[in-house]
Amino acid sequence: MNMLNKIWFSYKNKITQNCTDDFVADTSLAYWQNRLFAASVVYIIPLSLVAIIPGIYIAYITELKWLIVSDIIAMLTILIVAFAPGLSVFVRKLLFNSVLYLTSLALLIYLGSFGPGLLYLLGISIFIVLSLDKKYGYIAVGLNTLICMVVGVFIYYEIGTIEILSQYGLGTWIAVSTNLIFLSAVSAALIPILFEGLQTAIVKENKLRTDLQYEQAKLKSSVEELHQKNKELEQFSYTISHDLKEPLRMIRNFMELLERKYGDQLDEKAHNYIHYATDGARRMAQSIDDLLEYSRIGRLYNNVEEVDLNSMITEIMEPINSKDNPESVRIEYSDLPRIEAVPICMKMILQNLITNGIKYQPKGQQPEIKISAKEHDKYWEFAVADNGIGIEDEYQEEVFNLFRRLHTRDHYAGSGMGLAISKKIVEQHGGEIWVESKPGDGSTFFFTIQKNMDKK
Amino acid sequence: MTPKEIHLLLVEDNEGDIVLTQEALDEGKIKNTISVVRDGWEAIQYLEKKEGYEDAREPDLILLDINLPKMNGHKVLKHIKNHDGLKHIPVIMLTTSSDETDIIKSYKNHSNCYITKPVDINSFIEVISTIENFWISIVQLPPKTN
Repeated sequence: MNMLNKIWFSYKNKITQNCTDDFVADTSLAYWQNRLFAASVVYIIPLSLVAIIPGIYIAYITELKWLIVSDIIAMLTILIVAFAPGLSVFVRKLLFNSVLYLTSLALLIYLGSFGPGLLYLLGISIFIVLSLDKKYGYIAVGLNTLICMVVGVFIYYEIGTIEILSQYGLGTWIAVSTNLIFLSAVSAALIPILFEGLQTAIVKENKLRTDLQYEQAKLKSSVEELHQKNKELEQFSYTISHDLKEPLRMIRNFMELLERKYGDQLDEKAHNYIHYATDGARRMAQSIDDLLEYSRIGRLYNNVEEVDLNSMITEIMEPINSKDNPESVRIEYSDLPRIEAVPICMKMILQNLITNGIKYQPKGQQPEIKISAKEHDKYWEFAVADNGIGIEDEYQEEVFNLFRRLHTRDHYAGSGMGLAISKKIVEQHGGEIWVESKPGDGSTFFFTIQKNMDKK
Repeated sequence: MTPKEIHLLLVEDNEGDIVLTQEALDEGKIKNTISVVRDGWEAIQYLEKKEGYEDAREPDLILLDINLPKMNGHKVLKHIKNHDGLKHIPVIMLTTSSDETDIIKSYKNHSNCYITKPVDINSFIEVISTIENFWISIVQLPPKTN
């Protein structure tokens, strides 16, 4: 069994190799036409061997010697098509179809309506359109028509003595043969349409596939680029924290040292100058730190965990209440949820909004902060309301920009980074941030946090 | 406890920081001498008493910066802690960097402690005097071999 299998496979491979073209891509119709042709040859050899032996025997006893000759010629030609080296696939197809024609003619002539001649003629014309180009299908239709006409002429003039001529009158022949011509014409016309449709589908699919590959490659390179950019940004932050802060520290330290060691020799003006210089250096250091924090959101700060907002606010309020006189700030919050978020980021945003509410107050007023949460289907909505000075309409979007400040430092200190950082955090959490406010009547900052943040 | 004199090796390339450290040490109560080297390679030469440092005294403490020319602080630290004749000397990393990777790397290379330079002068002086106080009055340093 194993041996037989081996023989069958090497036989099949040999024919497939001879009857297909390696240079035709498997995405084209020609490839599949070649495969079909190869498969036909593979199976027709054993099948015709089964048919030819009784065929020759019957031809022998009925003394149809030409039929024997044509059967043998057909068999040999098919073997040549299958195994002869050096022939092109096209030539093999022509040979194969020609020999089928020959056989069907022989069958038609010698067996007439007893034999499968007419059926063969139809079969060939179908096989031709399947395995060759569409124009060969029309040639087959033409050939069939020609054969039918020639036979018709023979019948009309009563030439020859072959079987078929005695079976048909001209009228019946025309009726039979027009059916053959009609059917082969239909197949020659329709099968290529089907094929063209298939070819277009294959081409389209192929294009889609290459498009997809291209898009994937593009996406991959974008991701790589992004990684590269991230690395650069990290390097940039590192540079900022070291190379920029170092000289700043020098300015500040020596200004302070100057004041410390020679303070008693300086007049008030000189002390003021020193104060401006150190204050500038201190603020610049603060801005650098804030920028660094800003760059860390989503890059270093991206660990999603469960956050208990109630205890977080208690934690935030502790230093605030002990720094100023205790109970100087009235804060109201109850039943805030536990949410999935990046804890350090949640702390930053709440801290920013709370300290803003406390900071931007008319002189002498006791700050009141109210924090509430509202659950939506896919997100949480939080509101931090204060009784502060409020924000005018025209600035309500701008306040979220980097380094955007609405007041002079004399009135309210700050780097202008708090709300920009808050905005970035909210965006990191798939949410939005906005403010509703009336000057003199307090502000309410709203922000949303997406539920089901992916834990990393 | 009898007042001791301490000898520090400061490895620092920034002139400003050298002055500040000296000022801070001067304000402290403990008598000290400071030797200063300005890059990593020089620090090694000093400690191994080579290349013009033949008469150098072994320090009681090393204050080591990370961003140094020629050979950075991490490499100097590694060299000291892999050197049988030097690894007993406490090394204090004193640097601007508060970077986590710098901190972890330093401790993995057996730094004795890691300090980020404070940004204002009062804190800086406090840190230096705390270092002085801790390492000289509280800690027992290994006895000098030379």
